[in-house]
Amino acid sequence: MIDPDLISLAITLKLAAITTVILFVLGTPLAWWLARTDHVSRVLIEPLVALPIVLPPTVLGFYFLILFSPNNPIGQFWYSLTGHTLSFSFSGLVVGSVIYSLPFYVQPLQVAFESVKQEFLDAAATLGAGPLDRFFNIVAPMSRRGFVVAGTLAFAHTVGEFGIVLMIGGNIPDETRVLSIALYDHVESLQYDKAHLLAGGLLIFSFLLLFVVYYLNRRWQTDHTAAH
Amino acid sequence: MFSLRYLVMALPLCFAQAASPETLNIAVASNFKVTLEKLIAAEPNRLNHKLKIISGATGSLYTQIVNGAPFDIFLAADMHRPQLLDQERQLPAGSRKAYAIGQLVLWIPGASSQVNEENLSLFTGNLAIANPRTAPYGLAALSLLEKLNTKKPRLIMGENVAQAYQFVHTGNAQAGLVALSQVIDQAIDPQSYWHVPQQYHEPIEQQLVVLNSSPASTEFVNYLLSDPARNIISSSGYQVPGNTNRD
Repeated sequence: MIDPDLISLAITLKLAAITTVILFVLGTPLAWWLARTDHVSRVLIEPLVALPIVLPPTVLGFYFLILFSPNNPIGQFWYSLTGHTLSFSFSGLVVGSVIYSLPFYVQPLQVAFESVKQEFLDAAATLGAGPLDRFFNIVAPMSRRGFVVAGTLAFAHTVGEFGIVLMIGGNIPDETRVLSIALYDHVESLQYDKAHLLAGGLLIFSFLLLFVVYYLNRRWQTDHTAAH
Repeated sequence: MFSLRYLVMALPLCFAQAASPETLNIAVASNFKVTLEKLIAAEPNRLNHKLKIISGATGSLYTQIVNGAPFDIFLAADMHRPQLLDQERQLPAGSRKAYAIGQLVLWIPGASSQVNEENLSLFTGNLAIANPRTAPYGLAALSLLEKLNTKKPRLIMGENVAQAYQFVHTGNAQAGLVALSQVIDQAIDPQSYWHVPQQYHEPIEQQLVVLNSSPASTEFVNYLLSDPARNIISSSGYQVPGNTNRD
């Protein structure tokens, strides 16, 4: 019999990893578009992306619960497709986490993209490099710092998610009980030694992750300046 | 920076004020909050001290009390936490009393005929219950499922019975084992729920504990155990304890 907290650990890491990969695929073009576009819709999209930073997770959780319900078209569509509701499932948590961590991925990357000078791209274009060629050979290497910061923050922020999971997860042991929920359960049922183990573990893990990000950030910054 | 220091200095004053004899701080389990408000509204003249109601999950309120929250009376959703406080603080005899007994119902919204025991054995889908580890309604629900010995449906756990209700209300769970007080409060069609008989689970006994004895707290507790109050509690979906003294 595996310790239930270890299962929660595995679920949490899996959720954070999948969320980060999805954000890498969806968030990267979005960040690039936000960094380069002059289109008028930007004034709407940018605050929309930032919303999860300021909204209480309970607002998102409440709307997800309504959205995922088979009583409305979107929830019904998923239900007819898979035979179960998006709420109380791992897939539902992934959907919630992608929205919840979106700004933590997009914003640092957008800043990194914005700092790539247009002259480099123009020069490459005159030499015959196509848009994809320019992105992968100029923008991506110059923004590697942005990618690391964005990916780490998205991962860490998903690990630290609580409010949304509490509202849409349904606390199912092998499926939706992530570490923060397991911790909450331990505290509520007065099992403080188990709670200490999880709380301390999360604290150290989060610190180490941020430590590495800031350290790399600082080092690359010096490298960058030294190169000029 | 100055304002912050000022605030920190003022903090003990807030607590001092809260502990003054005129104000009664009542911590109440969320599930009983509405009923408590009804009880207070029914006797505006008798309860002439200032009442401050703090509602929350029983476990959270317990943790707050242990860490020094200035509550005078704690109306818990179970008997476990009041017992712990009673032991830890070695409270005087009679500080702890049962005030209500929760009733469990099986609620299936939109049921075409009267919901009964059979609906549970035939049920497939998401069944919402409160978390048995933390909520007495959850423990009762689990005990019912074990006694009926049916194939267990997929159990969706809310942190408390309020969240279990919310899962069913929003349609994410097709049925739930929730509190009678909730379906009464929300005026749910009685056809769509089955009042689970007591023999299927241990009584969901809710106890109160007087943490700070004063004339005001005695008067309040006496009111809560009086006949008019018991009538309000029972019409809100609870049973009232026969023997009110628990020591």
